[in-house]
Amino acid sequence: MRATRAAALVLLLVAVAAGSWWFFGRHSSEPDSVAVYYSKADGATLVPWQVSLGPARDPRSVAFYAAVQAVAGPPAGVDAVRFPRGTTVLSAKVDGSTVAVDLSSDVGTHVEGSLDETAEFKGLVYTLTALPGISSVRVSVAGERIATLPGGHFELDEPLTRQSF
Amino acid sequence: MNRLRVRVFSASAALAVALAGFVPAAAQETGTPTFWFAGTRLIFERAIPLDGDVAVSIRDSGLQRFVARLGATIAYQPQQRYVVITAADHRTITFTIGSAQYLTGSVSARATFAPFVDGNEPILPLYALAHALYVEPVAAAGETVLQPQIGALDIRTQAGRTTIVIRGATALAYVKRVDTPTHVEFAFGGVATTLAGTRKIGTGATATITSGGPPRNPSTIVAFDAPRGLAYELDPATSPYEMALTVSDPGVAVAANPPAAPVVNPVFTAPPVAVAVPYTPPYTPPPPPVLAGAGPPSSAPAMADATPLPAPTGPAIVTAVTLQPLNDGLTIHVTMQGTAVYDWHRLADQRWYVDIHDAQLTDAGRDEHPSIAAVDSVRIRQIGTMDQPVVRIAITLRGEKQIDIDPTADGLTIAASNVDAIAAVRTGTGRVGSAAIGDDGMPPVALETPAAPATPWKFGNGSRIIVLDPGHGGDDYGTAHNGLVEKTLTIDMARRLRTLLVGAGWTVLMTRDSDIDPVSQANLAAMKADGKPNPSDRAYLQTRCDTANNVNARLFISIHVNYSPSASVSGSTFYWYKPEDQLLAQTLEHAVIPVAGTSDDGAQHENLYVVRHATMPAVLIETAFISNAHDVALLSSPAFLQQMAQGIANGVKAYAGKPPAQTSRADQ
Repeated sequence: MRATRAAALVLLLVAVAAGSWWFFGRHSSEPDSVAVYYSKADGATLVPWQVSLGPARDPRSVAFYAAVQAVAGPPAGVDAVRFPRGTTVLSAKVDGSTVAVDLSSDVGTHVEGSLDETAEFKGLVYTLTALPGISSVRVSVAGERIATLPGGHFELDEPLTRQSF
Repeated sequence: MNRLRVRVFSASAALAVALAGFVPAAAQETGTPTFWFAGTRLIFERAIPLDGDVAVSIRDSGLQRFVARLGATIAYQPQQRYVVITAADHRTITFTIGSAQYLTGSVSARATFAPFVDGNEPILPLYALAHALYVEPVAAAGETVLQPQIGALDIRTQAGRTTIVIRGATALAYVKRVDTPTHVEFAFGGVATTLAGTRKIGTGATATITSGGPPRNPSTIVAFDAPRGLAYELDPATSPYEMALTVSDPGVAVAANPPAAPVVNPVFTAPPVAVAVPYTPPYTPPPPPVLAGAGPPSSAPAMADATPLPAPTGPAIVTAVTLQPLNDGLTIHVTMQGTAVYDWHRLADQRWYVDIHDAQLTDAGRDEHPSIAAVDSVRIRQIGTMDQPVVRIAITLRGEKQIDIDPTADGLTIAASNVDAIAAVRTGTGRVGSAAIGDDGMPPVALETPAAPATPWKFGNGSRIIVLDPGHGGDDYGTAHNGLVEKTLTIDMARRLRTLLVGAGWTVLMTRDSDIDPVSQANLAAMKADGKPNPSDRAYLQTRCDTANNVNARLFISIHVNYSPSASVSGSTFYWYKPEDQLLAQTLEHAVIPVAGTSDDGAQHENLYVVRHATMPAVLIETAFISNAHDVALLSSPAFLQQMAQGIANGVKAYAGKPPAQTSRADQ
């Protein structure tokens, strides 16, 4: 009889532990998606959409992932200002409240107007500064810090914040 | 488990490398599959079958060629768990190291094995990646064909019009095989599809997709049927991977169909033999405006020195280069205005190129990879120098194929045939074109050159100097679309504005007065020495600012032309940065819009270099959009360029009034 009670108690404890693990695992504070912004073709309207983080919710990877999604932009068919085709994120490293984003040189291959340049980076900056603790974004191209894109419009040699736009 | 896979992957790769030195067929003996893709053998450095898929490193040159051909990019940062592939249609495919689950956009799927890291190299499941990129592996005669697919058919109906977008894994080449009032067929070469079947595309209309042909060279037919009639139009292509057409309500405006192509067998029985309508750029631009040379206008201000512009004897203008696959070969049409000499060369490594001398491309260069037996790729580039521009068209052949080059009435035709070249001639020359660049109807434009000051100007806010900054110049063309080039438009408007301001009594300095991108050597040296990033760009832009800063000018006005990827965006924008810029921007906005007639996109605060670094009130005006049909029509009109100049001049008057009186020569 005593052995049966002990076994039942053990089973109860195991059930409680499993339930707690399941509940708190499912409802942990780790987000399961990030907000990614893109600029509509008018260059002025920012649109956020949620992108799943998938099975990896590694906080060290989130800035890189969010930057890649912002550079990729929304799927084709959505009227959006986009980075030049081929532009990729080489790295995105968090340094305090700043994310240092290194873009491939493709970003400078397409010389367009102020609207494009501004709107591209507006989406990227709004995306990354939506992450907890991030307030600015430093941009480099192929490992080099640059003053501006070849179009010569938008200034990039200082960290960008939401107030830059 | 993953550690074991790393060992298996590394050991298999090592074995393959070791055997490769002794046995030519080492790949087969170690179980490495043979792959074909888009008509060519696809060779991976290491491709190891694993759990029904194939493990390949993202660093593998074969995988990188595969991905590039699909217009996709790979992003991976060491020590992190994500590998993100961005497809040509901007879908993201997210693999996670250690998890077989992967995402295509927001859709989750499972690969047969979890990606893992071998050394610093993430290893991905090839078939899962290919599937997400609209490529399906097909087993055929002991090898695996990675078969490009038409992977998406989007149908959207709005206001009685249905837009159909067909998306392929590779650049789409297609021909219209049948075009009757009730039945239209397009045949796509080199792609199969998993979307076979019939779909409704509106009231009584359907789209039917079928595919066939050998695994290495499949074809797909998309047929549209509407018993009550079908009116459609092909939409401008936004990507070589897409074809879009808009279908009106059945029975409406049947006669509006484009001219019918020769009717081929309406029933799909075999791959199409001719692909006559490949991807072409969304427009065939006319030549950029050329400033017509003439004397000063009758209303030229008295103080202006009128200098006629040279007659338009400049380079020939290559307005379009289009590719037309035909019978496994390729015909390239070069459309140009003006005359030029060319020389062509056949290199020993299956490359062939033609240089058209003293010729200018109106659009950016591009690379094309047509799915053609005779041709691997075509590269179109502007090379040479500003003084001696050359347009080069280079073809990478699949073998020593025959190429014929013939001048035509409006350019050149280059035909690459899928037959071996007979003659051993490896170079030739010729002359092309007789149509001179036409008068674009622009009125004469005067160049005013204010007398050089005897002493440096020192005016502060009382300055009578206004600096105009025509955007771009020289090798920096700015944005170029629809036959218009930003650097040409900006200097045209700036010269017109200068005439007006000089007439109003202002002294006008231009940051450039010819086709150059101005830079001072002192700035270059200083910026190279200051340790800050990117000295070259800063030197070029700072030189423009210095033109104003060095004389403490009253105003700095930079003139540009805007671009948007959306053809619907239009209008004028007035960018400011410093607080003292804002009133100037708003004043110019209110003055320009009523005169120029453009949409008002407002006075906007942006972090633009020249506005920020000019020390006086400064504005950068994006006058109109080179990407919008309405604005293009305006920008193509000399009357509009004059109105824009007049509007800005009115704004200057409203903001600054009249120029201060000239009190003494020393004050100039």
